[in-house]
Amino acid sequence: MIPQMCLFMYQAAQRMSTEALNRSEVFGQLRRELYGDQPSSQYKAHIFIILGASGDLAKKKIYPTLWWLFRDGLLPDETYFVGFARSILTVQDLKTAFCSLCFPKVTDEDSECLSTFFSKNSYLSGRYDDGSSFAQLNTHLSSLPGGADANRLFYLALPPTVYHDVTTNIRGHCMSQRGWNRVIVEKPFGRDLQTSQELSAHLSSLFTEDQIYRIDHYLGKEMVQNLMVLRFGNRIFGPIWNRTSVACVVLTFKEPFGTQGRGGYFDDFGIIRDVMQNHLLQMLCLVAMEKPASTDPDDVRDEKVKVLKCVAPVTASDVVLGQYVGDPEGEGQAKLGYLDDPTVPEGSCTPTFATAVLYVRNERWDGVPFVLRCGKALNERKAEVRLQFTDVPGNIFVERCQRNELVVRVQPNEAIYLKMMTKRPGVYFSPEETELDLTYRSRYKNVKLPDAYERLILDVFCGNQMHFVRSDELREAWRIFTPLLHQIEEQKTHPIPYTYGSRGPNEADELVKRVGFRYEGTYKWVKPHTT
Amino acid sequence: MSNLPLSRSEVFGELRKELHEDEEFHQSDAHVFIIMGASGDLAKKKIYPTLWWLFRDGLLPEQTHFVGFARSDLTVDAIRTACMPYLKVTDTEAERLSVFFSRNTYISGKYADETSFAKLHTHLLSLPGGADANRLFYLALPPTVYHDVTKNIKTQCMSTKGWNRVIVEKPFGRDLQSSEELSTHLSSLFTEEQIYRIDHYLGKEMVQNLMVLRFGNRIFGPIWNRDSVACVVLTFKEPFGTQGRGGYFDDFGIIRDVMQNHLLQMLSLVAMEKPASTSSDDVRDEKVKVLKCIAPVTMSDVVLGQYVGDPEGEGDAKLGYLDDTTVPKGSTQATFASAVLYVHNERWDGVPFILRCGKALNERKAEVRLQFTDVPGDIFGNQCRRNELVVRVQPNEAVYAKMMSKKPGVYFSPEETELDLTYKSRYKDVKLPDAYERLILDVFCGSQMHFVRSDELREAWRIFTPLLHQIEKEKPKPIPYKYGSRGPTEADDLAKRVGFRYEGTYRWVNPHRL
Repeated sequence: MIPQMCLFMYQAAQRMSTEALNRSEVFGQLRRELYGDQPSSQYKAHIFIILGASGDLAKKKIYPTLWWLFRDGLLPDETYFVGFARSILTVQDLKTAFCSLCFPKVTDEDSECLSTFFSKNSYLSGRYDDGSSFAQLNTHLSSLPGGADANRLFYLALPPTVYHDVTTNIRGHCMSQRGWNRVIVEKPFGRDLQTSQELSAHLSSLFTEDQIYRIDHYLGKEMVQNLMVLRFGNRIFGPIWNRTSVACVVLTFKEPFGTQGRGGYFDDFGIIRDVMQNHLLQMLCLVAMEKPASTDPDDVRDEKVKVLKCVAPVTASDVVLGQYVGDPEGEGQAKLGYLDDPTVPEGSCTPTFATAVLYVRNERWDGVPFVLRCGKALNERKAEVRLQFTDVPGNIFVERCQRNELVVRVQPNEAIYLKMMTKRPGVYFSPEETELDLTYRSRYKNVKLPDAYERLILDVFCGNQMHFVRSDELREAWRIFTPLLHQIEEQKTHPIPYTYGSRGPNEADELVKRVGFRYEGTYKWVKPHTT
Repeated sequence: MSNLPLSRSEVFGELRKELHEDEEFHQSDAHVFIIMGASGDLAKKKIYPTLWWLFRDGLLPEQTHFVGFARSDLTVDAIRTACMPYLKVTDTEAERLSVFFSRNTYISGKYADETSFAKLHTHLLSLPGGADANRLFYLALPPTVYHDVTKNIKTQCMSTKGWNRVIVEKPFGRDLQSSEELSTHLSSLFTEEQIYRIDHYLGKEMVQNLMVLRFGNRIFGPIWNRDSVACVVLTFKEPFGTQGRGGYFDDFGIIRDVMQNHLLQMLSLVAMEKPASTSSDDVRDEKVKVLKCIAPVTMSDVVLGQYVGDPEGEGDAKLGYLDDTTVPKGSTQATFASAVLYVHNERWDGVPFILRCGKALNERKAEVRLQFTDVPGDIFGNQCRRNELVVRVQPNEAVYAKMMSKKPGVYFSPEETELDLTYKSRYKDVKLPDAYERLILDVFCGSQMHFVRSDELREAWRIFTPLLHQIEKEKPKPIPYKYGSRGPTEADDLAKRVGFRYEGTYRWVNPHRL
């Protein structure tokens, strides 16, 4: 049995695409999958508590996700949802806000189901630093049907300023005595090694590691989760997944828009904290790690931590920082640079683009550059993992062969493709570039890929921590980037300006080239067609 | 062949550059293409059409003339009429077709008669540029007249100023001894560089691609060996039987017809070491080397079959091989064969190469399939199937890698999928030339890479001759299999026994339009 593969999800997703399974069947499967033969507490109720229920994250992401899961029958039968925040609100207010924000819109045929969903919702207002508010919350939780025995999931959709109080109060007042308790935490997990360690120390004084679910939503993405299966389920990749065959690895995150008036929050963190130190580094771990002893979450995370331990702190000489400026010829937002965002402090040196080269100093990867690239206001939206293989030794063809590349495109349009050489079709005998392709929306027509949050919240219900960040992973990630971040902040390093909608600073391409990535510019993706 | 239309001379220039790198190719030289056996089936159905297509597409040198030779008293018009059904001429090409046939002439004569060839020679000289012209002799003839014809070509028809090339079709003998006799005879008349032995599988797009795939891609280097490959399967399947033409076939059988040549050639290309260069002889040196490492096939590694009619089938499917009136009564000739070969060298020791071919099977298919070993230290609870790299030669040329991917959606389990390169999806406007087109072009260009050298041929016969002799002596009864089936189940058992794993779980999904 693979513990993290919840069979009930399998069944339920089958249902989504094709045949219908009733909910009790689905949960029968779930129980068997999760608890085997043990008679278990699964008949208990579950309560999902959203702390910060009035906030943006809750309204835009958490409530919609819970609704989708509920609608698709993926949650346990007896699940209740409790919102908690400072504002004085009613469930009706939440529903109104929900209906105006939820996308895609709730269809008419689902409206009855939506009413059922909100009938399972309740809301309490209280103060985050007030023990009695949480005592009140606890009373409410206990009063719900089956509430005394219920398992509790606490989602902290909160600004970091109140983390300390809220977690203390949860621990002090709201823990289920008979069911389990799980706490879901969102980034930022501190802003450097020290602050992150303080937060971790605080959390671990209140909860055990297996109660803490740190979300990095990239770990909920289809293709990021696929990395392990691709690597360890395919014999053909085994012998080439190492320094002998891989010339370099490029991990990319690109956004085509800027801060758009929300630069205030961003400016405090910058692109390295926002994307590189978490999402890109997580992908690096999954690409670089050794095969774990099993697919048990801790076996997997052990290997990820081990990779990070072999990565030295990034040095400024291996980094290019950029900040976008408006494109006078652009349209709308593209005319505006980062510093034109009124919420950004004047003269801010915060990078909106960064390229960094990391090395994993172990036997498998010694000398292979891992290039991490991320930025806002670039030419496209794209997140991908790219392994570039070395040149063919002893080439026998008159024309040089381009390097093979294995590309896992995380978004948009999930795909895996292998850039390779083939005989130029026709009467020729020369090599030319082509690809072996697996484009998801061509290959898997009727499969709906769940949103990252859907997967991750389901994982919390299932008690599967594989796709969550463990405290030692977090510590190592901060260890790698903290010296660089401090240096940037102390020296107020001026980022290189780049035009909105461009590829980013040329210096980044030069850095990548210098460490060994070869960009030929000869390859063009051809969309396969059906005849 | 991108979308940019190229002019004739550009196309030919490119080809010349590719095929003829160093040597000066004299585009302006006159060429004469002589079809010996111009009245026969092969000429009518294959050679004339191929020459027409090459001519139509401007792929032949400007000054090329075509001369037919056979015993029948024929005219060019008669040949034209006989060929018409096979030429695929469109309305707009009528004029061009006339030009093509205006370059054609026909001479009748006797194959054993020197004076007929002297007459042919005189005719060749009389053509524009004829004295200087290069000559290509295509022997579209039954093997019975090979001896005479080649001797007469040599003594009567050789160009003294241009080059001479002789294109030979199978059968190249019927066992090691007869093949060696033919080779000795040919080599007494011509040098190896003048002899072009056709195995038309070597003219197929995906067979030619094998070398580029293997040696142009870094990723295949480390896995193309006994450490990673569990077995290699080379398949040729036809969905029809002999259909009243079993007389010729019965004399040869499926091993001589398909396995000893086409499948073994593909095996060589899959198994050979990287050649020193892409020059024809460097490549053929490596192919011979592979064959030298293969021991003769033994009966215990072979399954033979003969199809019987399917009473529930329709039309021809109701008829078994022995129902073909041209097949001798009680024939034990195999119409299906599966054989396991081993390449005893450092790269392939212990890896079974399974050759499978047959008529009247369930589908038309020719492919190369590498099945890789299991993932060592599996962490997915034995849910992973073996990776396979498949090169589909026909129909629908494709390369795909069967592999495991996360089952899309909320799961974390592996499921089978593929990385795909289907030619007709990826290369929309590319017309893949017919094997004969490529091969005849190669002869013009003097590229022997895709032709069988005499030592290759000898090694191929060495591998199969003991088996063939044993079969002919002992006349083992082939296992009957039903028309339209997969062949005898014993063949599947053999493949399984040597290590091929067939799961039956994989299904090809045609990627669909968005």
